[in-house]
Amino acid sequence: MDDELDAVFFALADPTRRAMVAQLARGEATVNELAAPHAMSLPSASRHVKVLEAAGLISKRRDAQFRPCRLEADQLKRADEWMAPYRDFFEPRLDRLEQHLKTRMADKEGN
Amino acid sequence: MERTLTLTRILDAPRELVFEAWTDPTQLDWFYSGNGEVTQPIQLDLHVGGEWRQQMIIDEDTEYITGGVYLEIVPPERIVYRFGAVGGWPDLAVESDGPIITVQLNELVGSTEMLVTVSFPDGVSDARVQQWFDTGIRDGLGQTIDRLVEKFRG
Repeated sequence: MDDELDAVFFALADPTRRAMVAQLARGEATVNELAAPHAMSLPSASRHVKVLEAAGLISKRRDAQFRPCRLEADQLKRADEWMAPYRDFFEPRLDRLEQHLKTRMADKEGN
Repeated sequence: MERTLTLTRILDAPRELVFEAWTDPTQLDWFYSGNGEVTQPIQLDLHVGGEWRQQMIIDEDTEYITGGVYLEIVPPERIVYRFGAVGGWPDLAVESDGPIITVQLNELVGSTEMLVTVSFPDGVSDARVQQWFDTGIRDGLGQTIDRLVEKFRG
């Protein structure tokens, strides 16, 4: 585990920044556009963007008038790989829990 | 620094039933998704400090005990436990710094939102966390960015 990955997890620990990442997964967006859904000031949004940028999760493209942000998918992939073993342990189990509950509900309705 | 992973599911069942599925040893078969016949009964002591121990079988030669030690129990909405078992995997005798699992159950209309979070307590060194992840069972499952984003959506 290195400092770079630390920065990624720190960046993703905040719900506003996660929402920004999700928004950027749908395409490029300016800081203005990233701020819009969160009813926050531009300086606040800008601070969040800087944290994401520092983690290498997003980059800014030079444009004539404004600088749209884009998602850096590779960095997100690294974080994902790091978490993979735990997800791999729990995902199939949660699938089975869903099945178990379906059976339980059916039993209840049958009685 | 926060090192967490959250899995979210919407379950078509009242949360009392979901809570039971996590805490009633006669119902915890779903947690075992291995191969072969389990020979040890599930042990579960639903108190703070109590243990949950359950046998896992990977193949003929590989089996281990897993489960947890309860840190918080709030029926029917919340279970927090330290992941692992004494003498099992993760081994809590050695790994008092292991990951903490939080199961949060939120009531929706006619269904339950379940959030399962894996987190490492502050004070655990990154090197230790890395070891934890390295001992995980990797199957090289590739994930799409979309799914990851979905998962991280707060």
